Amino acid sequence: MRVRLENLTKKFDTVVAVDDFSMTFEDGQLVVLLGPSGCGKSTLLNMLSGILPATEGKIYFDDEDVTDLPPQDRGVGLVFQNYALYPHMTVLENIAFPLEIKKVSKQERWQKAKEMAKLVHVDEYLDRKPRELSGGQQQRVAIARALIKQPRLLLLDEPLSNLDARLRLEMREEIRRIQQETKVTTIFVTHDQEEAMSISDMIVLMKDGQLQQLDTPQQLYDDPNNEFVASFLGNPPINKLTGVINENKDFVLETSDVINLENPNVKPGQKVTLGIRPEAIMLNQDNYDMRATIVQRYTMGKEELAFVKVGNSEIRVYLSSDYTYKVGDQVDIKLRNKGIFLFDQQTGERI
Amino acid sequence: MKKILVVLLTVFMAFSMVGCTEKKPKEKQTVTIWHTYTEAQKEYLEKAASDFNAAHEGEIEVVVESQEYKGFSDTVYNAVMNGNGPDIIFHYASEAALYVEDGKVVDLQKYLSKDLVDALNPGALEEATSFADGKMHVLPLMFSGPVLFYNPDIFAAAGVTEVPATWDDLYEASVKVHAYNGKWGFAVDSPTDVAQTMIMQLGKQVFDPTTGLCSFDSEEVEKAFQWYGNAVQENVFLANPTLSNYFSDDYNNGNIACYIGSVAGAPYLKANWKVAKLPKFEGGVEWTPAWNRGAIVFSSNEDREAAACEFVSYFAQPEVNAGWCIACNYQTSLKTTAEVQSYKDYLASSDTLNALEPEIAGGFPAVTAQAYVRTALKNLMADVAAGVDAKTAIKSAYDYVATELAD
Amino acid sequence: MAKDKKISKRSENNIFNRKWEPLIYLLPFAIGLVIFTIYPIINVVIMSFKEGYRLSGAYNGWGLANYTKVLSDPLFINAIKTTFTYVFTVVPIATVLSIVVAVLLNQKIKGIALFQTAYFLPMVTSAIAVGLVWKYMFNYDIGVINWFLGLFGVDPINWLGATGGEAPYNIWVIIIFGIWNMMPFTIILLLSGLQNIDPMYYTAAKVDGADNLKMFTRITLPMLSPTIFLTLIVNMISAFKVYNDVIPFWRGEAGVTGRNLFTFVYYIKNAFYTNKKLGVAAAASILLFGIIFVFTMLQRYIQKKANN
Repeated sequence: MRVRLENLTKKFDTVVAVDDFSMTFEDGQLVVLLGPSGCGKSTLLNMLSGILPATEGKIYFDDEDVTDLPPQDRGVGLVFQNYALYPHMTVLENIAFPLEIKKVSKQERWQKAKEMAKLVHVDEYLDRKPRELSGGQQQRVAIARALIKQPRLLLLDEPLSNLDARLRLEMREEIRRIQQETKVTTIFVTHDQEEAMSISDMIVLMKDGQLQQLDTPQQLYDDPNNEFVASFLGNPPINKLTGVINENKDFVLETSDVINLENPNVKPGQKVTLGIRPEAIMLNQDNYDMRATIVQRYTMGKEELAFVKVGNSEIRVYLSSDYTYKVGDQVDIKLRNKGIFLFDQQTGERI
Repeated sequence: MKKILVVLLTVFMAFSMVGCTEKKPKEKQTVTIWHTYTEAQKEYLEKAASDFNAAHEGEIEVVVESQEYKGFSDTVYNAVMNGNGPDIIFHYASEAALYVEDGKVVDLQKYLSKDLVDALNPGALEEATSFADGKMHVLPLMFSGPVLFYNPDIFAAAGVTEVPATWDDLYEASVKVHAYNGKWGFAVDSPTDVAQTMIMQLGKQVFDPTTGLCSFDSEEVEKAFQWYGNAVQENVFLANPTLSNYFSDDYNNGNIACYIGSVAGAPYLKANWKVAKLPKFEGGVEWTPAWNRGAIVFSSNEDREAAACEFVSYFAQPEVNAGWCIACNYQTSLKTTAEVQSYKDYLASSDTLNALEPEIAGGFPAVTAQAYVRTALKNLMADVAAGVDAKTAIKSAYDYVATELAD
Repeated sequence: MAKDKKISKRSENNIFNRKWEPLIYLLPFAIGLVIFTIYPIINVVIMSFKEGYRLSGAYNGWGLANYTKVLSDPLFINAIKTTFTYVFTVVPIATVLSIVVAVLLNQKIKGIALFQTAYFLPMVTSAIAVGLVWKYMFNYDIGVINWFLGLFGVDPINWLGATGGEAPYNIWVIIIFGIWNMMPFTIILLLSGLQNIDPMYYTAAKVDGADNLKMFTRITLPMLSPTIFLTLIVNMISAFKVYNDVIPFWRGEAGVTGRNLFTFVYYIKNAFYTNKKLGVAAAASILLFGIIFVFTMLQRYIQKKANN
């Protein structure tokens, strides 16, 4: 099912939680609503589920206007952050509960619940109470319960945030698998950029109720709309150097190094920020754009990184294993063509 | 371990020997009085004690100690049983009866003068000597009792011209009141006393003090209870207060035209009231209940008992007793006091006290069975008021007392 | 060598302290418990087997006479009847009503504080004092209850009185008053139970289309059931000891005839204070304890069964 938002807005008193969203999610996609806490992503999700009424704008499921429909008439399945499994019911009863409400016969709903349990791999635990399950198993039950009424739209509200790191990875893949098997349009809320990047077809990146960018994960990484998007995504995070544009439309660092960026959109005298992904930095090539001093070295998994000092700023670089670097060594920095972005210092917009 | 035992035993023996050698023939006696009185009554009692002490300097000292009103009876009982109780309390004969079996109360006739005992009202003397062992364990000093309070305004409006003197008058008056305002003519604050009154006035004993069994059944008595029950069922009499737990509230509200209640209830009456003697049966025995309160002396040793009785005698002297009765707003149980001028004046000024009749006022035999009989009478009155026929109600009263006595 | 000895001695001391110190702290409470709770209980048990036990401590001998007397006493049979009727009407009705009121009070409605105060009022007032107000309300002629029933064409009911030796409505007086007295505390417990239910369960059910009744029966009731069982046990124990609810209406007597509403506690009080038959009172107390014990265990058993 396709989901279309038209100027969707939510205000709480004077606070605008969701500001004028217009967008379309295609049928069968897994869309992630991503942003720091308080950005309005859960509010948007709750408006889609119908728990919260919209202040302005419209929500369309396919061509049906569901803006004023109550939750139960929207055909959505909802998975809560804390799973919201009924502690007094068994796994089977929990999964079958939405059908019980719909007055489906016991035999039929138990049949369906068993199928669902099989899909999410909890069919061994049907007679257990939720408290006898691990966090990951509870999550699976919650998903099965959300899916049993065959919703047009599956909504997941930070479903992995209560799991430990290992389980989170596992469940992430499980959710992806289940979504692909059922082909249900899914909207997933998270504040974890890595989770969002790895699972989604599309990412809606939000900040302070404003849409920052709606794109595929790769596009979002490679072609950010603004400084916020660039810095929210990526681990290690993007490096930033401030400077000004000279008459030749070149970028001048505070160290007075000049870098030719061949960007036609800049204006002489403009104050700008240069965003450099760590992987866009090459060290000790034949020529260099700037020079830096190694301040500190650290490892992240198999990668070896270093903080280096350029003028008064510190940036992260990958170290190649060919050299042995010591703290205090001077290195030459050369930038690649990809992973280099220029932002207006004032607006944060990409230039 | 053995060592400790030896030490303990030695100490113990040393103390008991002190106890043995302490006894000396003539020594100053301390007599303790426990009471729950306050204000004027407490002052009077304390003054009487200090006057007495002044007159017995070096021989007897009376100590007056105030006790908590609540649980006083239990406090005294426990203290007496543990051997650290008072020498004197002022209470009802039934209170003394609790101690008779254990021999903890003094036979007062052993210490008090014959004149003093003879000065008692006949009813008071009968009650004071009605204990199971036939001895006298209380010296009645004063008494109160129930009287008939009536609202002259309602009586006048209802056409009741004469104050009811007999039970039949009372019924007729009540019928008139009921016809006049649809409310009740009469109520009984203490059903036990009224039951006892009717039985006694019909010439029967409530129970046999030797066996404890009820002994009041007769055609007349049955008729009397039936009469009361019918009147309640006809809504002419009121059996239960409607507004609170006290008939005074119903009285103040005009719900009842008259009721039998304690003399002490007068201060609570807000509606216009007058007081009359209890109704009688035409041609019946003259009898009214008396709630005698007297001095009870607990057993100790002969000297101390004698000292305590010395004070009791002093406290029963006409002048002293008169002041005490006035302070307590009671009538005296002693004929000698009735001659004191200050007492006569006081009595003349009090309509309520005047409605008590010392010559015919009697008590309840002070034996264990009294408690059962009281409950039985209370139940009997409640039963007939609820519409149970008198014969059945009397039978269950008899049965109740018999079963309670059986074990 | 000497040094070693010293150390071992000190550690021994520590063990001693660790063992005895907590006990010393507990001692004041333990002494109080023994003197004021355990000793009287044992005493009551002993007393119940002493025949003809008197205030002075004298008794005729040992045996079961007190128990046979109690169990064959028509007043005690009457007490069983009255108390059981009271317990098994007041407790269920008060519980059901309390659940309804607690659920209503748990709503976010304007002015709810006023209702909350009104419902909790009985808790802060004396049952006996308020009972007098109820006595007025039960009045045959001028009581608001008969007036209210009159609006629906019901003939006035002789709540407090008796006719022809029968007083069938007396028990309803204490039942109604008992329910009213029992509700506030029950509501408070249930409210706290309700507030412990995470609202997300309702949100989840709502998204699935559950109506209020479904949410009440499938979410509220099951999740509230531990609290409900708790109130049932606490209320049943207190209901078996009913006494205060009877006092206000018939001048402290048990019903209009003084015995038609005899409860266990009335029986015990009558035996103890009026008739001074301490052994009988003790035996009746032990029987009351036994009954309460059996019903409490029964409830716990049912609750355990229900949980699984």
